[in-house]
Amino acid sequence: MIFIYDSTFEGFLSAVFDAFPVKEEVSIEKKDCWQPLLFAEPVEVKTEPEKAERVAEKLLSICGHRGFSAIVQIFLSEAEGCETAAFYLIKSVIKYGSKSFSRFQDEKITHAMELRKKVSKECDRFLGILRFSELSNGVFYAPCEPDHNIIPLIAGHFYERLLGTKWMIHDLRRGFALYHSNGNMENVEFIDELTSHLNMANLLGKSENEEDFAEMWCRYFKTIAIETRINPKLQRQFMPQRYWKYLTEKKNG
Amino acid sequence: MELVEKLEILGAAAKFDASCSSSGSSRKGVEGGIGSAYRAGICHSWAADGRCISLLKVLFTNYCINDCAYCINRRSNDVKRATFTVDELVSLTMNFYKRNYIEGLFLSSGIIKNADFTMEKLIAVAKKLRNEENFHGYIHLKVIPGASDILIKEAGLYADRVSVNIELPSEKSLKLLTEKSKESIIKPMTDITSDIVENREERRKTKKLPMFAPAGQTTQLIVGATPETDRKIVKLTEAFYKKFSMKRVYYSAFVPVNSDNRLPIVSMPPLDREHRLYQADWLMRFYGFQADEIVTEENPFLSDDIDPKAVWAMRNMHLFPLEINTAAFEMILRVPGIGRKSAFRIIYARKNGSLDFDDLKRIGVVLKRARYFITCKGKMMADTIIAELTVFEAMKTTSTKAGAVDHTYEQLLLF
Repeated sequence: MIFIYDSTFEGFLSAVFDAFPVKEEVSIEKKDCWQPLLFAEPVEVKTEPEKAERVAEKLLSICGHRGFSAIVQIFLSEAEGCETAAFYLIKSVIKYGSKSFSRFQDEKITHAMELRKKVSKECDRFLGILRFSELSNGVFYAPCEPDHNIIPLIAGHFYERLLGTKWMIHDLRRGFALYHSNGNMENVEFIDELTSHLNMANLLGKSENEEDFAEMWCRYFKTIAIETRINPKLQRQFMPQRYWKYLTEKKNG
Repeated sequence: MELVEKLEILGAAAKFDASCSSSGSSRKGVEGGIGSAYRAGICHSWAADGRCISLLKVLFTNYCINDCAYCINRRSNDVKRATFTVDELVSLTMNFYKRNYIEGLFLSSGIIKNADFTMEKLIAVAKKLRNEENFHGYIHLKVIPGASDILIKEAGLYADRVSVNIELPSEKSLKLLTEKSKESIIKPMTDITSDIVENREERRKTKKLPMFAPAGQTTQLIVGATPETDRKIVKLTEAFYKKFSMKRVYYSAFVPVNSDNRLPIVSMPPLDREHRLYQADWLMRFYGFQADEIVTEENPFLSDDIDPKAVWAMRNMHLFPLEINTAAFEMILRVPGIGRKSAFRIIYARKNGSLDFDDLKRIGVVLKRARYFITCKGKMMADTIIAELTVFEAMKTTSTKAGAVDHTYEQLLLF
């Protein structure tokens, strides 16, 4: 049985609520992505906050914050089939408890946990490789294009770390940005879809000192490597090339 | 001299210090301040040599009154010299930090005038970062050999981590290659250890007391510049962990930067040996091994071909095979091909029912290695032949070498 929902997390949890009692095999898909099949009629899920709340509370009571955030991470992986994988895991957690997370005997659960691992690995990476530059208006701006939808997961780290600064983290792939100033963090409302994918640094220009610090960082980066140990393969293993585009020290090769 | 040129000189001068870690401290950001500390540490970039960059690692100055044989900054070398001002270092740290280039500052120095004079300069930078800039990121301060305990006590109030480099594995080598005495190094190490112990005890009574060096103490030594055996180095490391409660011991493969007849002639740094030592180090810190189990008196060097965990397992075949579904955690940890993560997963997964080889594969166990040492539900993995030569070959082809991951075993499978 196929359930389609509106792409929000609340919508997904509502779908979990509706699909839970179903005996046959369930798949959950985003409405936008769903490809009509000849013989299958999908069930369209209505997003209802009360249903979502009930599922969330149930999960929190069984597996706590750690377990719940694993489910959120699987959802934010945005991988094909991630909702179905998350649903399978949720069902198992509700049936068998939180030891389900370690049920490596079950291929589907292992798959779901692998999605989770990919997301948390990318989160860890981005705590390090996200780069801010100071714009002409004094805002520290970090453009990025992560594989998974991780900005909501890493924002808290930068929030408390950079309390004294105004900053913006911008996911150019998803057209989503968070802005912080004076302890308030909010979603950025863009004028239109096109603008939401534009690099603000090109639009607004950088602050007076920005190039100096970027240049010093690049020179430092070059000088710190030990010549007799040069190992580009190892470097790429830790810092894959797809992330270089926004890395101050790497974007020029 | 322009700041960027100083940064290049004093960055290059610090690059042989292996430590870059920003781990061990956990501190939340505060209002009006900048920065926090993340328990596991954060790597911000990887240099062309594949080593991680976490902290802005620089010397305060590369002028030095000493003339140690292996050191690029020794007094008799004709190299460009520079000295930062306190303000320059503070500004660099803050501005790099705000751009998320770094986790904080790692500050070491050549010795100017004397140990205490130099130490005071390093402390001044850390103090200004903490008190005037309200910086809550990570600071690692080197303690200059011979620095007095009063200054060490002050350094530990501002720094997350402090370290004194032992530099070489024996007193004899220290005498031969450096102008530092063993006492000038061991004394501050001992001071730091007792300062930490004292501080932790007092904090149990008065919670508000500031934490002295919350991320503890580390040290570093050069491998391959002097003739000590691996056994000597591994035993020394064990003593650092047990007696000084060190957080890390770093090994730095000897890179010849000076020509000096007291030094061996090598064309490449001994990276494989450094790699094996790190493996031995991990076995002691995370796998419950004793130094004597890793390197014996009869074989005082680690094997070139096979990693130390597999060497130990092959020497102790009488303890295997291990039944995965019932074995104790401590023993599972000792199986080649099973890392700490996999061992934990095995323990948790067992609660859901018994495990077979497919499950182990999903858990992440490297069966190419582990199969010779384990059974699942009483059976060995199909087609596993335990003959000395087979196991030896299997371990040899699956032992990683220094640098990138070794993929040779995939090619060998074709035949």
